Amino acid sequence: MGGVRYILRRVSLAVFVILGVLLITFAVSRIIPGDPARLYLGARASQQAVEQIRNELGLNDPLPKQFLRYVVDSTQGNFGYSFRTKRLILDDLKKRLPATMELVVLALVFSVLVGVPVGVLAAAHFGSSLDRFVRVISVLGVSMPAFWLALLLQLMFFLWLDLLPLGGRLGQTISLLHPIETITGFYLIDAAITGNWIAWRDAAWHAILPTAVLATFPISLVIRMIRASMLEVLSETYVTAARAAGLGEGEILFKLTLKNAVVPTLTILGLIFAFSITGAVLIETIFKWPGLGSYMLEAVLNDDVPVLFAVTLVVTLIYIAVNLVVDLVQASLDPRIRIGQRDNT
Amino acid sequence: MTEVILSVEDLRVSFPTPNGELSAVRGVSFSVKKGQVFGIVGESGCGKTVTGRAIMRLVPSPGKITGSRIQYRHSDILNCAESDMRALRGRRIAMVFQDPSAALNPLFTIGAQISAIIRQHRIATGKAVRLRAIDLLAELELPSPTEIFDSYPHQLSGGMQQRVMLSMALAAEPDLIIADEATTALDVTIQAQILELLSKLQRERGLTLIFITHDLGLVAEICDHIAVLYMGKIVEEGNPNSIFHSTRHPYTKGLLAALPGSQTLGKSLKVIPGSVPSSTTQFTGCSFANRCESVIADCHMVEPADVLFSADHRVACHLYSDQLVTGPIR
Amino acid sequence: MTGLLTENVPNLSRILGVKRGSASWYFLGDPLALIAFVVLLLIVLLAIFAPLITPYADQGLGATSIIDKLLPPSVEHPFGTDELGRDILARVLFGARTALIAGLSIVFVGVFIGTTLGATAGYIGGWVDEVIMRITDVFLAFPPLLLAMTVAVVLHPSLENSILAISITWWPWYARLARGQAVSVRERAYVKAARGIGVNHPTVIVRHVMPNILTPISVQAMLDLGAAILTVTALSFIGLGVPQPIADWGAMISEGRIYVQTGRWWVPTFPGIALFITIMAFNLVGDAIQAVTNPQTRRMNSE
Repeated sequence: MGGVRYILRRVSLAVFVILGVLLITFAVSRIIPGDPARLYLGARASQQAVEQIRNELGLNDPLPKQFLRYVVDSTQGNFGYSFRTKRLILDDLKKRLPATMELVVLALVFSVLVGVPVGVLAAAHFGSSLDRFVRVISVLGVSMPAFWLALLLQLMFFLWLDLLPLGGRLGQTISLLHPIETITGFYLIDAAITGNWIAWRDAAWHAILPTAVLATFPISLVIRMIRASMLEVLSETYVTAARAAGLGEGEILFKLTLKNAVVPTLTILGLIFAFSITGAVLIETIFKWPGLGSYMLEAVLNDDVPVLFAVTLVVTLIYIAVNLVVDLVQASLDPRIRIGQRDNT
Repeated sequence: MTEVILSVEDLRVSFPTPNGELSAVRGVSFSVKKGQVFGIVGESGCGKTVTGRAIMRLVPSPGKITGSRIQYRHSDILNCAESDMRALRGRRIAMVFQDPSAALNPLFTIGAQISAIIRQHRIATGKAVRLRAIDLLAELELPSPTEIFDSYPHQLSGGMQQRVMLSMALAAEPDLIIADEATTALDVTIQAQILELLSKLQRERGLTLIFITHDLGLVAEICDHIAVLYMGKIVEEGNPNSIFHSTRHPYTKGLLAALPGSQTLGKSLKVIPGSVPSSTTQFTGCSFANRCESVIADCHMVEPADVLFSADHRVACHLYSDQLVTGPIR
Repeated sequence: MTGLLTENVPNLSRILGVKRGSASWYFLGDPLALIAFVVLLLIVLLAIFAPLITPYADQGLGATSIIDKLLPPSVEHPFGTDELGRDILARVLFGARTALIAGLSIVFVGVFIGTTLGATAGYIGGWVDEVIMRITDVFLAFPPLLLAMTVAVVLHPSLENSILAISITWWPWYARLARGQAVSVRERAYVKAARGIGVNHPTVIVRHVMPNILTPISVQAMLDLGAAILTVTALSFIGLGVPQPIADWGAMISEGRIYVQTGRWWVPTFPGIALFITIMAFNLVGDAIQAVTNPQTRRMNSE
């Protein structure tokens, strides 16, 4: 029963935060100097046209009413039109979001698959040269500026070695001759489902560098976190007790203590996700990856304000959702969080 | 009955630290007979916990165990391979820890933790594992053992947690149980209950117990052989009668005199002067010399050898060296 | 995280006769942390004395010299020149100033606002606590760079505005930290004792709560400096941060990108190396400080 209550509490908190986020983006959007309607139509539009657009956009209504409209619009995905592309922002998002998500998911999966075992092994062999090596590498990874690494790798693999493509998601010829049918928007999944292996290989080749750059920080962070919490856990009495009972090292490391070490590390996952999104802005620009990040950047360079707010809002909402999921998973792993302490009377 | 189940000879455990070599155990020798309740008593830092850990080869690195012998029945514990040691742990020798809430993994149910031990030592398999675990919990007088099987450690009280720990120690049916301050963290009433339970189990199963504690009163109650430890060495060893009524070593005398109740009302408690030296100190002569009331010249120069007073009462002290002199007991 | 203490590496602490087991002992005994600390000191000194070190101080501030554009590294220009003929070494040195000033300001503002709000919330409790914490939650919900970008677009690109935009995303973390600390301190016996003998709230906060909060917060601040500098340079990389002609590593990398394809590799590389080394140094020093102040890891090192 305590579990259900916890879920309800967490979800209602998330809803509250979403409202707060909407309020803030709304407030900031109203501070901008300049008339949004005029910005949209351009400097030479007539006053009449501007007035008409203002009425359409509801800009003459009282602020609370505008806010309400904003909330309703946002929940329906109605973010208006991009100044630059003149298309519905929602349509743009539908194309751009999966591209970024593909990178982020790939990077996250990779970080967990590689980072966790490495962190566990480093902790188990505390003080050895393997451990030291891992620590140095992970500090390097955490300190590396993403955009500079991207540049370096581009230099190495494209300019010097001519091994990987410079940028983009798919080579031009491939996209013309073997276009990928859009089912999920994830090129790697869609190409695999439709059996389009030529395009799959090309898409994978294009994804390697951006994913590698995006994954650098998360992998290093995961390694550091897992190692640190494993070390803490391994010094706990219940580990000595498990050894005293004759349980094997492998079982102790991977079945028992890993669960204990993972719980605090989960909090980092939310952080990693946020980093990935912001990292995507920089990485997509460098690799010309047509995702949310480059969309955001183009908006910045073109003063395309509605897009800025729309992307910020959407990404923030996803971020809130991810944090919610992480919290719930944490609660499911750690019974102390969901059941609560017993009254020791 | 008189079979020796554990024999320890010249056990030494030391830790290299930035402050110098920390000698926790400096040459401890004793034998435990089957069915005995053997008490190891001493203040904090005297090396009693480390001795217990050394017997199970669970001394944390970079600690080093050296010595002539640690032998369980016919197995050489001191030099055997880690895999052999693992087979012994839990199955032949088990340990009960001081703080049950720290010794139980908070993220797993009680049942899961007991079952893991049962399975590891192949006491049972499949469905029988659960039944066996529940039987064990019942034997330790836990109410609603089936519910407890599915509970988490933090849902139980301290006393219940300790019973669970005991059941985990018994899960693989060992012959020897080392109880390291097993009742220290508990309320006095619960302490009494657990002690009674331990005694009952010991009698019923024919267990051998090594009881490590700082509480002389406890030791008097349940042990039939006691070793008093100071600065990593046994200073006096014997049955309760010898220790409490024919006390020889000045340190033991000091401990007994410092107990509340040993003085008449109104008089202040007698305290052993000075404080326990750091474990990195190296001594020439007796380690108690600088605090001893009855110190003589020899104490500062030569380490006292063991003196036998009877078949099972020996003391390491120069005051008695002119009496029956022998070396360390084998 | 523990230091790289080994018995075999010549131990600077022993050589200097530093007291065993003290904080300095651990710090000095860890070769990696020591190197990082020296590097940091070097960076700070280079930044402070930049105009005196380089003969091209004016170019560091923005003066151009188009005839010398895009020269490869040489004796006169150890790092080469950029597309406007400016000596890159000078620009990197002045960029260090920008980075350090920005980083310190961001962390300072963030700590100030966050700690004040958080300590107040934690100490007073009740609805004040609730309200402040909900506001903190909302601000924490924004992915840092995005909010900074949005704010920076609304305001005009400048050093102060970048600092402002990023600080907005920085303070919530400190508020949370400060609140947690304040709550635990509030419950401690000596605080209750002080209240018991009639000491009023503000005095209690200043004399008891604050000192206890400061340690974990300063450790976190130290660790954050690297991240703050990274965020500022990232913002400049996009073009929203520090405007020309102020030297900024991020902007230098961004502007120098195109020249790599024509073989002029030095333009973005040197600022990048400088940035990387700086962040690494901050991280390593922060790690060491954390290891030293964490009593648990200290125990692991000595046993």
